[in-house]
Amino acid sequence: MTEQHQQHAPKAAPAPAEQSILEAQHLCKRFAVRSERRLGRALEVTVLDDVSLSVRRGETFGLVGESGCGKSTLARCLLRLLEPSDGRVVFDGVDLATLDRGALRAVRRRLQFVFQDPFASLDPRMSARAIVEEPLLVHRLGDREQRRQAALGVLAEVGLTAEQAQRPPHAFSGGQRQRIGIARAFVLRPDVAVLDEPISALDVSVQAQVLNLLRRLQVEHGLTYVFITHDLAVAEYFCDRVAVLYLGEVVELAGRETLFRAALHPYAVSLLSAVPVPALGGRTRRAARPQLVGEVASLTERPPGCPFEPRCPVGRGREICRQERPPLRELGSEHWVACHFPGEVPLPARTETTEAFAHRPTTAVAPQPALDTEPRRSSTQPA
Amino acid sequence: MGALSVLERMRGLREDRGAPAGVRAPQAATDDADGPFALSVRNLRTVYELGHATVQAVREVSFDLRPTERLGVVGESGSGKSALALSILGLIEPPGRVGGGEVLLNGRNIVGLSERQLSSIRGREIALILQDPMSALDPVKTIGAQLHEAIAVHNPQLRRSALRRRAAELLREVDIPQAERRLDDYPHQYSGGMRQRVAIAMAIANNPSVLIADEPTTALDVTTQAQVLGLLDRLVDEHRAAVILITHNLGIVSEFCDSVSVMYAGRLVESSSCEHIFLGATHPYSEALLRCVPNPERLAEGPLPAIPGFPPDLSALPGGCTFAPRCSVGRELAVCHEQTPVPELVEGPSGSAIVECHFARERAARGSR
Amino acid sequence: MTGVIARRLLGSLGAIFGASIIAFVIMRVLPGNPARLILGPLAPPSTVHSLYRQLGLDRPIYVQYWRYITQFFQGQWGYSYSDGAPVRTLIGERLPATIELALFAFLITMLASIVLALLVTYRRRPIADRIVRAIAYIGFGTPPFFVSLILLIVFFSTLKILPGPEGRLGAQVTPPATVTHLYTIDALIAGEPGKFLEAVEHLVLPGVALGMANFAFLVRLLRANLLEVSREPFITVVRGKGLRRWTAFRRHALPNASLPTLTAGGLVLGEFLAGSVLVEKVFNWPGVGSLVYEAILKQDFSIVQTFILLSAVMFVLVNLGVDLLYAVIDPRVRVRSVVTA
Repeated sequence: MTEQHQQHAPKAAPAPAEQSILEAQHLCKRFAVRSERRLGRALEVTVLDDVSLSVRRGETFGLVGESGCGKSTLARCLLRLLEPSDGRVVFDGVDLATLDRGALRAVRRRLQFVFQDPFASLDPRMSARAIVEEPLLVHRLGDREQRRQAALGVLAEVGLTAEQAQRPPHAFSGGQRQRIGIARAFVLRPDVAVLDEPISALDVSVQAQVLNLLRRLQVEHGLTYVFITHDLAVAEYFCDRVAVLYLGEVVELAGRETLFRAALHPYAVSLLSAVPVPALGGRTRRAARPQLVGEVASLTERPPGCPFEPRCPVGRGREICRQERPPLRELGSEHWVACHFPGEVPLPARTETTEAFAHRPTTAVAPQPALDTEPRRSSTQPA
Repeated sequence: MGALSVLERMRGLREDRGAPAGVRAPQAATDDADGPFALSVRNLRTVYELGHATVQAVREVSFDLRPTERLGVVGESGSGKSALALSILGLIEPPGRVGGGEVLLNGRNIVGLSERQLSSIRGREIALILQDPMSALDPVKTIGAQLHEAIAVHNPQLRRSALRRRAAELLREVDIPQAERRLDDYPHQYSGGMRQRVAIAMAIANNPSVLIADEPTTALDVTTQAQVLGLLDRLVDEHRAAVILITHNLGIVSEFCDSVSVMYAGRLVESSSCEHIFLGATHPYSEALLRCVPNPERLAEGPLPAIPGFPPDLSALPGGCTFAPRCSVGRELAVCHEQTPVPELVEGPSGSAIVECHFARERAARGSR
Repeated sequence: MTGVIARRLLGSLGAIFGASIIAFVIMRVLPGNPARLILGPLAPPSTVHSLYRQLGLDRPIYVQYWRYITQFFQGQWGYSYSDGAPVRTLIGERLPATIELALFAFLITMLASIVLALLVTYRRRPIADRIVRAIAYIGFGTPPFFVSLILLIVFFSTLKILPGPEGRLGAQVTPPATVTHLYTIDALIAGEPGKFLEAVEHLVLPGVALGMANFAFLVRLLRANLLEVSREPFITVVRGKGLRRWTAFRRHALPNASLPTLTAGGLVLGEFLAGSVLVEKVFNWPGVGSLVYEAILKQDFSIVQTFILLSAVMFVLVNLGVDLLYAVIDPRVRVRSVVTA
């Protein structure tokens, strides 16, 4: 995949592929929550706590974590759909906070967002084409006919015909609606697309179609993706580098191979081993899995030290974990971990059946109706 | 065990297809060498009459469930898997109705029983766990009150203090800390995982012999899902219940179930042991479902083998095999579009399976590779 | 919890303040000199002027407002312009009739809404559903005075089964011994079932006429809420536990569906208490509504002014009560939940 990316790096960009295009520097986001108990006075919750990461041109950067980990908030801060409370977002070398409205608008064109819910994010009264045209209208690009052509073009790219383009969103299935959402984001020909759980609302069989589409568009247009997901199998399949978030902090950040084979943070390890694999031996895997205690802590009751300490199989109750927040350190090449005791919980090795399953031949050859059907045991002769 | 239960299902199948009279007594379907089935479903049919269209949610489904067996029913949204669960419990609401078939629970047909008779069975002999822990509990009643209700409805002789003791016991059983105190909390004070634990506690309160769990962990985070699945596993063992686990996630089937049925457009298109499906699924749909799960090992092979198109509209099913328009095998073949495949018992390398596909036998034999 | 109450109380005070401003301003912008209105066209200018000063109308506007508002809450509501009687006495005489009618209308409206909404949602009854919706539709779009006239024509003139527009009791009937000023309750206390029936008979038609529009509103709301709640997964879950359909409905669907209806009920009761000028007029109901009607005709603005503020206060109090009730019934308001993102 990486090779592919380098091959298809944007031709216009003079910078090497390694250069970062989107960077978060010490991002913090706090929200005021009204508390009934305190006579309606505001209570502050920290949703993002000192998050730094950089997304490289042409890569797919994964943000992975469970609900409440802040991944969606981070995505919205990266696009300045939300104003960060602290820290900076740097896009292509420019601090977004320094831009005036006009300049920010120009940047927004290059930074697009695809929403999770293909049902709620499309205006039910507009046709697919009008929905896709709208961003062009907002950015005052092209004349009427050019906009129309551009919209139809990008809809064709995502697999919708000109005839289908006239229909309103409710005439489409979930997968097709998500294609419209993607077309709307891509009609502006952005450099970076932030995809917030783009497939999690879709059926399994449709998810693969949309993933393939996203990959094809990325290769064809040399796009950079920030891919938010709670599905680790998808992240492993789709992302080049992955950051694991827990309670608004990056606890581990590494390349795909490194993270999924040799995760070091106990939370990342638990998360990875908790994914049920559709292969034989599931019950053994489940029995061998490290069990976490409790659930994700409430944001109002953040632990003072390591955010994962109360649930951690390694650090629970340990003084240093309770008191001191572990810094994000580079432990291997491009492998960042925020843990006082990295690697103490080993990632269970993949079972042989998993591997065997993974390498099953994938080409389904249509068998011809055989004539010599002499079943070894058949009690049901077709009528 | 898996292979055995397939054989048993086969018997039900033979009955479906009209075995010659006298070959078997009608009651035989509920018995086998190991004793009676916990649940036998025969030709169950559920339709929704929507005025302009009739949605066939469950189409003549038959299967057997042995005591303590765990069957995974896998399907996508709109495959009819939730309607199947509700039909078994007699909880289909208008405009839907069960249009025919039998549900033999511990040997007794419960289709067509009165609401009074059914309600004495629900929760006691057969219980239900639903997907969404946010909406599965009444928001204005305490957790304790809802547990009391589950116990009291089948034990009217119990006094309040006894109910409360039992409710606290149940909460402890599902690992809720400070159970006594937390009885008086309301659902919104519980986390998602804890609510699902409460739902499980209510379901096992009266030791049902069959438990139907409709996507019990889908709404949960993956680490919470692992915890809840572990809990369910332990409790089902302790209470010796048979389980129908409805899910879209084959990974969960692998972690929890003995046998699996793949549901498509209201039919069980492949039923087998877990070994069979994970080592060599026979039906093209089962195979495709397994393969379209992203797998990094196959990155080099190019795009994911996605299933083209989308699941059919249950009110306008295509003729012939309902999967044919999306099938890698039969998309172009006249036989698949014209003839409805009948269920067939096939032998794969890792056990037998009942498959509804014109090419079931060839494919099962090929699976030995 | 205390936070909820505190905020609701503040909100109520705000609403009353707003209403008082409106009532106050109306008086100031209306043409004519109140002193002249009170004394009549023949009074000499010096008398008018001294009354003008006596009423404080020469003082700065905020002083006038302060005086007005403090006097209102002390129960000094001024004097009628037309006959000089204290407004408090005038309204006090009429208020029980309005309250009795309001409570009766509220009771039958709520009962009818709940029963009919349950009837059409508990089982699918397409025909009954259509009829209820049609009634609701008609009730919603028909002015109450028109409903009153139709009811009178049907039940009084034609069928002759209910009394006509003769007020709270028949002409020959003397009111029961006064305890609460509500004739139905006083009749029961006095042990006079005949008078109780008489009072109820007189309440039926104006009660229905008054309640019709709001019945339409409530039955539609409750029906929608019940349908929504009965589709909630927890209803399936409690039936899965073994509760019968009706028990599940009564114990779980109805309480959940009633919550939003409670707020609506508060609005309705508040509206009834504020009185209906036209319905009272049609039925010759000796309530506040007809008093205000007469006052408007006579340009007796001190009564109108008091009435505006008084109905605002009643309205706000009823809704404050509902809000507090809400906080007691709905645990989501009462018990703070854990904050998660």
